[in-house]
Amino acid sequence: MAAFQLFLVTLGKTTPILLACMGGMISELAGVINFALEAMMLTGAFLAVWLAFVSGSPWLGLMGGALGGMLIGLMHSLACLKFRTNQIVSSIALNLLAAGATGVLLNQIFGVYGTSPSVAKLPTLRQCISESLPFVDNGPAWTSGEISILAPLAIALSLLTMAFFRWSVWGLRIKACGENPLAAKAAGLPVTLMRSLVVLTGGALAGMGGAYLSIGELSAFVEHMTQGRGYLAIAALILGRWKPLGILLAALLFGFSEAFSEWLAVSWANLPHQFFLALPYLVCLAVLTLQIGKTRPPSSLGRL
Amino acid sequence: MENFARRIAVRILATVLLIFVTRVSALSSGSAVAFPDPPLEVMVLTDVAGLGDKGFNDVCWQGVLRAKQDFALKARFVQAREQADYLPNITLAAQNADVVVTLGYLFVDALKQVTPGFPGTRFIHIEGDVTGENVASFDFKSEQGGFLAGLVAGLFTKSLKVGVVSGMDIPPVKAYVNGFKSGVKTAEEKRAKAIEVIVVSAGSFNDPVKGKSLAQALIAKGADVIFRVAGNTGIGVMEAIADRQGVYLIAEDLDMDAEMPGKILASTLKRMDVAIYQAIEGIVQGRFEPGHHWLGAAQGAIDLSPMKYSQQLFTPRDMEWIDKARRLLKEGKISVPKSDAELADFQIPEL
Repeated sequence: MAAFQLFLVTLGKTTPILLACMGGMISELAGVINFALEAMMLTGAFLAVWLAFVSGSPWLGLMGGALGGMLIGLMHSLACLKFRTNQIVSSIALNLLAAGATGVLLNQIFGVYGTSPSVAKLPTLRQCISESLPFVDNGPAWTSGEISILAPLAIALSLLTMAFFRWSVWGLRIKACGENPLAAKAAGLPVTLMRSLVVLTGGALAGMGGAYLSIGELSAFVEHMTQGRGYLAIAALILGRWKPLGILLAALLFGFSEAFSEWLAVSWANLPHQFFLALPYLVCLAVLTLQIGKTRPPSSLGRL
Repeated sequence: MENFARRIAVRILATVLLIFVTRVSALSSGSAVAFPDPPLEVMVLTDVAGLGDKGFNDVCWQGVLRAKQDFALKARFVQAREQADYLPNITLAAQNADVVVTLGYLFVDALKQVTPGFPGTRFIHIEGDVTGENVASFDFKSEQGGFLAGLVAGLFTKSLKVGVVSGMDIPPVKAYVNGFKSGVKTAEEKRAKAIEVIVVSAGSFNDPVKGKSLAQALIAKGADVIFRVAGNTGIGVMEAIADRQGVYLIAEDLDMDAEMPGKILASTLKRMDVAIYQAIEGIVQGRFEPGHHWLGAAQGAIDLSPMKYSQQLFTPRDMEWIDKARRLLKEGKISVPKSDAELADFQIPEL
């Protein structure tokens, strides 16, 4: 049972990182550096709560999360692709912007500081199953733990992305934009337009990752609630070598090491807790150094 | 060439925007109502958790708001985005305000650097020892609140396992935790049963998602009472407890009992609002008392909420013990351990 619980917590911790990481991946495969994942998540988390608050529906909230990420994606692609700013600088500026703007908006819209009023939450997997299949009493045993419906959705999305880049022509074309934009242009592809659209889509994914935090796990927005998970997603992207399967595994590894360290912290409460807090990052560092073979980002990453 | 100029322009624009945004995010002002002149200007600096943490910062802000109403002050707050903001924020506040209120232990180092440079500004600091001609600092015997929380948790627990989710490992939090352990020890003796205390730390006062999963881990381990000392991280702890049967919370600093009636056994009260109010009152009336003050149950600064919604969960005998502990603390007859060493030598009081 403990192992099963650990598995569920792992999935929960993986979901936001995986969604953000996929968002980053598709944008970087198209050749646009995307360090603005933190901003996309935070804005997504905020807009998700806002829309859920206004509409009363967490599903509209989830859409709001995607919109929030796309908003940052739009700004990023405008800055990078239209005005040709440095893509890393633009990302960092957006991260700072999102951190400040969400706090100010929280105060302006809800009239509170720090924490939003609580809103409707996305259903858990168990609730979804018992709702759609009324004859299944409380769902099968494996759904007994608490896991947001967004977790299996994220895994499914990740598999879809995998298939998309593996078998579809458009997947190949997006990669062409990131590998050799000039050749892609010569082949008649609208490179800039494609890149913009891909950054927007990536924003939507990362925004949903943020929405998972605010309306999947919690039921409120808390200022700065992403707490660096966007940066962790970037680490997972590099660790996963810009490959869909790779980042799924990397995100799972991060999720697992965090879940495991928390489980350890509860089991061995006598050890200094700094050890448990550092453990996930130690694992990340260890895997990065032990990585065999060459890591190769898309050739034209960051180049126009 | 034109392209180059445009790029430069865009970069400058981006920089300006960046600076603007940082400023806006740093200065979300509390209120700007005009008061009869010259109103005393009070600037409150919160830690990174900021207002809305339903705990530490909110309690302090309540005191400021009350003073603002009674003495027609101008009060604003500035929330730090990270610890590196403390020094510039304090300096800026000291230049612009008559009274600067800093909230939280993490401000101590930065505050010590700034106060000698502004002899005309009064500083009120909560949690931590900062001395100076122009500084009044207040420390609270958080361990006494922790003791009461531990006693309540220990008397209540059915599973004989209680948990603590802490934010960062700073002295006031450590005092809370050690006090809690001593309270549980006292309950252990009363019930003649061994009770396990599991303490986990989130490493941040601002990570509610982690707070939730830590609380869930504690619940999975069998804890049925969780004490939160975690700022915003505690919001996640409440979330984890809200939809669980038979698991209860003890909140810190602010009376939260009405927030989830029946699910919160008790809240420890730390009346930082009173300390701040009285310090501002002193300044207004021209009798500012600099120095470092320790406040505890004896001064009415530490107490337990009235347990309005949870009383029926306890036996009358339990409630008697809890009341007696409160009384003895007030009379100064229980010495509660603050550090690990003191905890080892803790003498279980007669209740």
